[in-house]
Amino acid sequence: MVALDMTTDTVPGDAAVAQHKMTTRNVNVYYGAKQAIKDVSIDIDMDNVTAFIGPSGCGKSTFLRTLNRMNDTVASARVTGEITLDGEDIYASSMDVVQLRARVGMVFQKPNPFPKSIYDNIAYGPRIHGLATSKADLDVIVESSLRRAGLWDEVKDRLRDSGTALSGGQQQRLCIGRAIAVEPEVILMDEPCSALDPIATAKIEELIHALRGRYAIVIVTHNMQQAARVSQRTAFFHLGDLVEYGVTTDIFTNPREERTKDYITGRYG
Amino acid sequence: MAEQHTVSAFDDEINRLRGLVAEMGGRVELALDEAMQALVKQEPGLAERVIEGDLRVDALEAEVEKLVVQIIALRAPMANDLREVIAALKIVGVIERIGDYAKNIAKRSRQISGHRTIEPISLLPSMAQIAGEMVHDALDAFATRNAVLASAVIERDVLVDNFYNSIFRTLVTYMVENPKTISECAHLLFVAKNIERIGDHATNVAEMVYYAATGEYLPERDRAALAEG
Amino acid sequence: MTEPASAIAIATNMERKPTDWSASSKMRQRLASRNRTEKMFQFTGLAAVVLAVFFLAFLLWSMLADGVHGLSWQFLTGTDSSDPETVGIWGALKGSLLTMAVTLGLSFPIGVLTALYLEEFAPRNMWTDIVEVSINNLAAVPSIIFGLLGLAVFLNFMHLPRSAPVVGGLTLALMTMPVIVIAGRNAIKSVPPSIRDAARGIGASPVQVVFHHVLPLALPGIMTGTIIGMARALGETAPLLMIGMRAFIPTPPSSFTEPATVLPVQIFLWSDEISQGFVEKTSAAIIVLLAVLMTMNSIAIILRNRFEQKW
Repeated sequence: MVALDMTTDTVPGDAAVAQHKMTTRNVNVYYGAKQAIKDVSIDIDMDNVTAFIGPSGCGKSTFLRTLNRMNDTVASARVTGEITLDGEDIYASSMDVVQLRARVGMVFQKPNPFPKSIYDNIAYGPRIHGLATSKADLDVIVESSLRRAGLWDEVKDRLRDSGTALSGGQQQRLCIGRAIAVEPEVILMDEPCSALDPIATAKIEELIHALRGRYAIVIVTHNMQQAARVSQRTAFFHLGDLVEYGVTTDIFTNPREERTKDYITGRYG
Repeated sequence: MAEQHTVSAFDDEINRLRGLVAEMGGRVELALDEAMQALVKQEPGLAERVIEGDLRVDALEAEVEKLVVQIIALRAPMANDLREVIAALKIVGVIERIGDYAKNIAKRSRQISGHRTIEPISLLPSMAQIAGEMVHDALDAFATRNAVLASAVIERDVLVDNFYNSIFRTLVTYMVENPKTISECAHLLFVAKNIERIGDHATNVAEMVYYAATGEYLPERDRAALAEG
Repeated sequence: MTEPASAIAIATNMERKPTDWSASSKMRQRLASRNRTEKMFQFTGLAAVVLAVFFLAFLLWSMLADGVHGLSWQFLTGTDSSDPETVGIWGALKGSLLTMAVTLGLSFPIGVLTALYLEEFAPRNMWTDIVEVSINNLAAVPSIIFGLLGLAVFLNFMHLPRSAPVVGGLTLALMTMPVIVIAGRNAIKSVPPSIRDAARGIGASPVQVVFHHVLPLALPGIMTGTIIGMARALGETAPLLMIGMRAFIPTPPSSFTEPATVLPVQIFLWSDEISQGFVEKTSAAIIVLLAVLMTMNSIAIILRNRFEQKW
């Protein structure tokens, strides 16, 4: 692939870096000898929802997981290149991984609430990070997080019920609430709606829309329509390459690259 | 590049859409041609055929609209597919208008019958030929997604406009000189106007084709430059 | 045209006669033979179950018939004696309880921590593979070998008191630990990775992930494995014979270091007695042992059903 500069127009230097919440430069990810991500440079803004699309195995989820170092737990994974959060290299030895993951939260493909009460699901993060000094504090955090996750009205009378007793869509919103309870700066969502029905999906999409601006949101999705609906920036990955990254409207009405066009019009082989 | 969609039914629908648009285009081209012949050669039978044929054009428009709505609802077309489907929807609306103009010319040809004393009538077929070619090329450009051909169509609109201006002047002179011919001339003036509108519509189609093919709008200043020739 | 699409095209072009599902004689034969096989298997299975239940029922019935008259308050609270009229089981039961306490106290924490470390923290390499294989093998080692080990290490080398619950407990702990490790690892493995991801994803440290989420969720499974391991230890005789817990103990032990005997050894000793009165007492002791074992297994089942998470 031609060495394209996929990053948005910025002058090099500190001032430029500060504009973006996260930046990646020439990131390569290897699983053993296999290269899963090839030389990806991308900027993630605070104000935009960024969607990663591409066929299965294109590396979009892998790349997402490098952004909060979830790949660290995979023994054979190796990451090169530079990834910064607020200009700070997240793979530097001075970066505390646990702290990083509190700042860069994650929502997973399958809703995975803890088998604890709804209250404890939300309260867990703030508790381990010492964000609440009193029970009353914690109550406020739980309520505001559930409100922001659009779940409060549905669960306020049964906060002591188990999180796993909720419906799939509610569970996923609970997981989003759990992520935002620790006030992260970035939220990574790995195909958050792939296990949900269309109505539950619509609620999650509405939620993403409401959260936009407050958190930098990156969403990986198989569903192109969903990427088109929720994101302002779309990145198309193919075989580990970042083929095209741009304004969502442009990607879906007038993609620059032949491979992007073939994929989003359903001609991909 | 993979020309075909993974879902082949989608390809079938797109091809059917293109076929319907091409058929509509062919029919209005023919209608324009026949209407002009009806006018010049005084053949009322041809005029009747044009008027009846317009019903089929209207039906085709309705069919395309239905198909486009169905494709958008069921296939969720993207990128060039989306642009093409939307362009097809808009183009058939325009073609239907072109068909109406041809029908209008055919109707007027009956009014003028018997009074074929006016000289400018000889200019109209040449004008109509250019307009008809513009329609033909615009639809060719759509079928082949050819942006260059579409631009060429837009360039030719100025010829039709020039024809119109010259015919307008001549007819006005005629009317001043021979008030007896005023009603006839008025009809011919409307025929000229209809052909001029057909040229404009062909230009619109060409612009839509250009967008569908490239994803870019023809820049305004280029359009102005093209229009000036 | 792309590769998979052309493959589909080829597949649909292939000629294949539609299957004839109508009741042809060939089809009827196939059906009949299949039904015969089904019936035969069901009958064989039922026969096997009946056989197993019959022996169990026979054992229980003969024990109850022989031993139920031997059960009395005196029998339950008394200790061993040479007179079958006055013997009691309490000494052996208390010895068993003390031994089990030592076994549980040692094997449970060590087993659980081993399982946690191996599953959650240890890198996957040759060494952990060797450890894993060794633990699996250890669980299959005959119990008498553990008895010999206890004799060599605890008595001859460390000079701990003979016949004492502490030594019996230590020996049985060695035997039970691999069982707990294996049960623990399986329980930990069955905790879905998504829970670990969830905790890590909001910034829980590895130790927090394990102790806040993995261990609580794995605990019912670990407990079940532990109880079954303990039940096995409770019924164990051979290794305890090796370390001298077969003495005649007329007073119940009051500490871990006093000489004691345990239920199965007591049964073994009484079954050797010549006096006719001991037949009834042996059966009564077996009833007590079975009652204790059944209680433990019931607790294991209850734990599993009540706390098992559905994913």
